[in-house]
Amino acid sequence: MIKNKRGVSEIIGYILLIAIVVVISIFVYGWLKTFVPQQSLTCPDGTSVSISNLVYNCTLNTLNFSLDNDGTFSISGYFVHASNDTTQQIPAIDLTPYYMGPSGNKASNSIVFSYYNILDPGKEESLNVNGYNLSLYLPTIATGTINKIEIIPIRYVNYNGKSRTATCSNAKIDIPVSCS
Amino acid sequence: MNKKGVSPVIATVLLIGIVIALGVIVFFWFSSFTQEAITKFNGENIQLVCNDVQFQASYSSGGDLAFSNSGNVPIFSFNVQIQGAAGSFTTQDIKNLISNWPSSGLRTGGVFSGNIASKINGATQIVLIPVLRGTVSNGDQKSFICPDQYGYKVSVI
Repeated sequence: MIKNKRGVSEIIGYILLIAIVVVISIFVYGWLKTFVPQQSLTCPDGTSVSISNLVYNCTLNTLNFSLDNDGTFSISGYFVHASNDTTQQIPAIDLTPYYMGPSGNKASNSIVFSYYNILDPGKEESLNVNGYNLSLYLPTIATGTINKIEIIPIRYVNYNGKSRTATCSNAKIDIPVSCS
Repeated sequence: MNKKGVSPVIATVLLIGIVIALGVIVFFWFSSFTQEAITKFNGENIQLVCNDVQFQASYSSGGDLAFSNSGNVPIFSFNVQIQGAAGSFTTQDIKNLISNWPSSGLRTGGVFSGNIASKINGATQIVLIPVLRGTVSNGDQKSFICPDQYGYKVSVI
């Protein structure tokens, strides 16, 4: 019979095992938690806008239009881009700096009418509100060179309990422009 | 018999101390094997956010590369894969092709245009792979290049 066998006490062994497992599981939980998909920030499918009364005055170098909400959801504003290159598919000139409407509507790169979705379905924001002086800001956009504008509506949505602006790219519209 | 030994109270305290110390050592050892998670938007892993990125790009006859961020994810930068006629390709950061690329990147709804004609001589196609910016556990900002599957191809012939 072998006497005086030395080794780690069983209790210490169990405690070590449990402690290692608990630590590893805490670590894995913290890392895996970031892979749980969150709700995506999207615009509802019924969002839609159109423009009317478009006037591109090539003498004064101004652009005016009325914005109509012809969708089923209210919107809070829009992005507006222009193109002066017929070979460029994407309008890459941000018209926000050239905006002549109420100063409170001009955000960093968008026109926002209010802090909530104020433009209801069937309503219109007149061309007095949506006016652009293309000589107002540097670089000045040369007179008569705009050939297309793009409007992308935005609206506030509830995202993880907070109100955030969502880009409604599914409701984007492109409008050819020529001198009036 | 006068068997000497450690008091049970001291033994318990020692055991607890040893377990905590070993737990901390195992934690730091294990953390060295895993990549630190970069998160964005309320703790979501940035790899998942790549799926929500939406943008368009086009190349004009004059050599202007235009971008439009039509999604809800700000794009910090782009990795540009420039593919040549012989099948070769090089990869460059967009800042090396367009010197005035915005330092904060392309915000949601943002547009940008820059001329790259002189930088892509002989190329037939470029692939734009979005680079996002997220937060690591200590609060620092870190960039993340989305996988190639999220690249956007633009013909530059």
